[in-house]
Amino acid sequence: MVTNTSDSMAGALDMLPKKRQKISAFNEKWLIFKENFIGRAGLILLSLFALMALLSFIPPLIDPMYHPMTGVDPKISCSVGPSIHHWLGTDFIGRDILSQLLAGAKIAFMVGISSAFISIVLGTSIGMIAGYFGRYIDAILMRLADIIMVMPTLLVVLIFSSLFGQLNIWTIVLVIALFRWPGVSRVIRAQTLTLKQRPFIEAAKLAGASPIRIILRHIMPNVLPLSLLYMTFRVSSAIIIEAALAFLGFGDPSSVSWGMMLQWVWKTGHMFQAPYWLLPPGICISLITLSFYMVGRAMDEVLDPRLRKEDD
Amino acid sequence: MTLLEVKDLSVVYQTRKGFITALNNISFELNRGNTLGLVGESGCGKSTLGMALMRLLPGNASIIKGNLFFENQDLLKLTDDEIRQIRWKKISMIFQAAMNALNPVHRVADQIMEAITTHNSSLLRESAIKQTEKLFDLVNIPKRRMTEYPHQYSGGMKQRAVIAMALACRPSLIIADEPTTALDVILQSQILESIKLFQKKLNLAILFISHDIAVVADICHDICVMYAGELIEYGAKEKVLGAPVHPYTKTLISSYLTLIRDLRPLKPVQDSTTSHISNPDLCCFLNYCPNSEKICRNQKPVWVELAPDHRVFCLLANKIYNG
Amino acid sequence: MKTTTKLIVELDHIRKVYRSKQTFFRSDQKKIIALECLSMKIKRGEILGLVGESGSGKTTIGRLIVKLENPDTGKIYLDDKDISLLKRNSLKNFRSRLQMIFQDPYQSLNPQLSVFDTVVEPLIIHKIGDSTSRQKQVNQSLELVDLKPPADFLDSYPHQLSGGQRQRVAIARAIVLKPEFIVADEPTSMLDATVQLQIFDILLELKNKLNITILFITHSITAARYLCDRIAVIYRGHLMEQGPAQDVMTNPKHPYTKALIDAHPKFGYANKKQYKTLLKTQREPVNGECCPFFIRCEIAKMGVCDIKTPELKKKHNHHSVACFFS
Repeated sequence: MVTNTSDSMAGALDMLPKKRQKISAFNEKWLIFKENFIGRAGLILLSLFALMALLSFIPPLIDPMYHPMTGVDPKISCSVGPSIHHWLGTDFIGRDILSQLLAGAKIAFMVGISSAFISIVLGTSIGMIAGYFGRYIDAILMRLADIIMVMPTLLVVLIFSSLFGQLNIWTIVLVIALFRWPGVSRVIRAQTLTLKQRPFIEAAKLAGASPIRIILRHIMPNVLPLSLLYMTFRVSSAIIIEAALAFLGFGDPSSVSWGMMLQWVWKTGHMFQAPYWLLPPGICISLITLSFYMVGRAMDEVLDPRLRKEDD
Repeated sequence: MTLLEVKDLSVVYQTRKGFITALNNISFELNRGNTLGLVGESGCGKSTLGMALMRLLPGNASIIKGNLFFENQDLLKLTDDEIRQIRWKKISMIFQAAMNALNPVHRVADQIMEAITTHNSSLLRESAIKQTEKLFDLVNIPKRRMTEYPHQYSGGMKQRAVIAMALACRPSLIIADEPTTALDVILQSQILESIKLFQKKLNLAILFISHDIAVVADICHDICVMYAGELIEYGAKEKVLGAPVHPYTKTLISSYLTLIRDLRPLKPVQDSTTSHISNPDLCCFLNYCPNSEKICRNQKPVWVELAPDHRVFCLLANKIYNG
Repeated sequence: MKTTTKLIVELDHIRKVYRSKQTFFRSDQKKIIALECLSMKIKRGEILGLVGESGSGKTTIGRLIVKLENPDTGKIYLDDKDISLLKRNSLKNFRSRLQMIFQDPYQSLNPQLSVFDTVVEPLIIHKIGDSTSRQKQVNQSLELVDLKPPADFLDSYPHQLSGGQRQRVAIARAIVLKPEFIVADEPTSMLDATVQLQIFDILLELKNKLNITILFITHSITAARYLCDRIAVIYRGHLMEQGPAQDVMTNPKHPYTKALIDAHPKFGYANKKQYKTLLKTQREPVNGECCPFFIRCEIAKMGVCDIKTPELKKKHNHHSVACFFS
């Protein structure tokens, strides 16, 4: 009943009994995702980090000593290694490293997801508008994207912070978001251009649909999976940028992020003296970016059947 | 003389939803110098059959049963290296999408020459050029266009070039998978004409796969009708098309619009909304069959030989044949 | 059903040229003439078959009529009103009167929308009815295209349907606004023969039951013969022959039409007469004005066909031909 591989899905579905089982597109994709090893590993890692972020609310409840920022253990006056009271040791003024690490997970998620979300919303809408309307709107938006794309994000943020003094964490989120949309919008624009040629868009036009309706109803659902994919990559890069900023001393001094922890290690000269202090934030940064990347890779395979391995 | 003999060939695809039988117990023979037409609708397994003969099935497909005898050699028993020797040199293929078969950055003649020299490395350049010229002649492309690039060719010319490439190593069997589907009628008839011509000249065997029963009727000597992965009627063209017996063959022929017949063709009985198969052991056309009787629902269909060159896979074949 | 001779669509000297994109390095623009001074009339209530090869401009005509594209010169009239003047509200009204069915049912449905969402969309856009009456209209449309019972299909997504079913959904979407005119652009060229006939029967039903005028664009003369009241043969942007379907098929006048009929597979009828109007090898093209079919025409004469473009001339009984020797 089947001619070739590309037909095999349609063929298989043709043979379903009359009462079709309703498989939503999402469920089907989720099934493929679940079978992907990289995706599963990434998700497990991510949920560990999410658990850390959730747990970060607990230590301050137990004892003010465990408050990541202000909780100083009165018995300790310099950085010491792991002990029963402080599982990962303390920093130079006796603050608990484990509770700092947990708080850092919270910040990482916050910074990563919110800035990625903003840049995706911006990039997707700009990409769709540029792609659909074309001509001078396209030209203006894409030149703007080019300009922003070639600006070195880190450098600009550094200039910003030296202009306005210490930036708070939300400003950092916003700045990262504003600088990371052009890549997304390029991809979405290209996707929109190919969608625009498809007859179902023309059919909608013939039905009298306005451009806004066509974009929202016909183009957006078809580019959204791609946006989501790009969001996972953007999360990784936002976390790294934030860590770099904090490490360089331009972070939000009132929040404890992993980059901030690294900066404290560096500034107090504990780089090679206190591996129990240096390694946890470093490993966490690498692993969380890796896990988002792995999820993204798996999503990529779900969305692009060409990357999928032949089911054998 | 039998060139190709396919015996009980079965192919399955492995998919997420389990196994799908693409070909079920296919058997036929093809003689040297003959054209065998394989007709069926999309998804009936006809392209899979062509791929299986070339041993070019995709990774998730496997041949679970059967033999493929080509020049008294079982193709399925050969190693990959041995099959590569036979592929293109003895069995070659014409694909449907001609535009994709040619490399856009090389001249057409160079590509054909390469096909000649890779399988015959001892050949001198001059004689390779001569052979290429002959091939261009055979498929009716003017010689002055030999040095052009594929994008300078029209669709019909590209298809001719692809045919020339398939002929490059003087194969004894060509598998043509819908070679004219993407072309306009006028081009189609011209290409069919030239296929007929060089077939006679070279004494080629052609396995012609098509969904268009009129094209098959035009070019083939024998015809296999396929439905849902099974061969259901097989025989000489005059028999199968002139006096079709299997209800599906009748449907297929009657749904074909001609210039001569009555305007109103037989209403096709097939309703695409109901499912194909209820029981894999029963007749695959059962659910749409206008003639089905009680026996069809209880018994496996069998091959009925109505004449030496006409076989039908239907329990009621004799009944239908005799009126 | 009475056939009125009232016109619904009229094309008046349409010319449409596609230009290849001008790039920085190449300033020479390649012009592809899709339509050359083409005039055509479509009568209310008929099915007009537009037959031609790929690249003949037949699809362009369909796209121009529904205003997916605009002609370079010339005017298109719908009920004697120039459609190039339509703006906003009148354009929206125009959209509800003309619809199109596309060639590839795998591309013409939004993969993310269910059948119900696809078919109901035109009603939502034109703010027709409330949710219950819309539901009813969608069901009616689906029944008209033989997707019965509609409830079984409403929640399906395109990837769950076969090619034929998808094309039916596309037709249902086109008729849900009750248009007067439908352009069907090779609606069956991607479908199997048996499914093809079912789609033809649906189109015939639309004509007979809803009195919809259909412009049926096809490359297959047999399909045109089966379905159409009138046939127009187009070649390289020129109208070659036009007339009642039966007339054109049994008594073709233009050598190109004859070549098309010749080329059609014979299906065993070997003794059928051949017109043999096609040259074995093409002539060298002529610069300047000539008959568009000149380079492939067997009966063309030097000094006549290579210096002037023949005009469409009425022969008899609404049958007109653009050839000097017909």
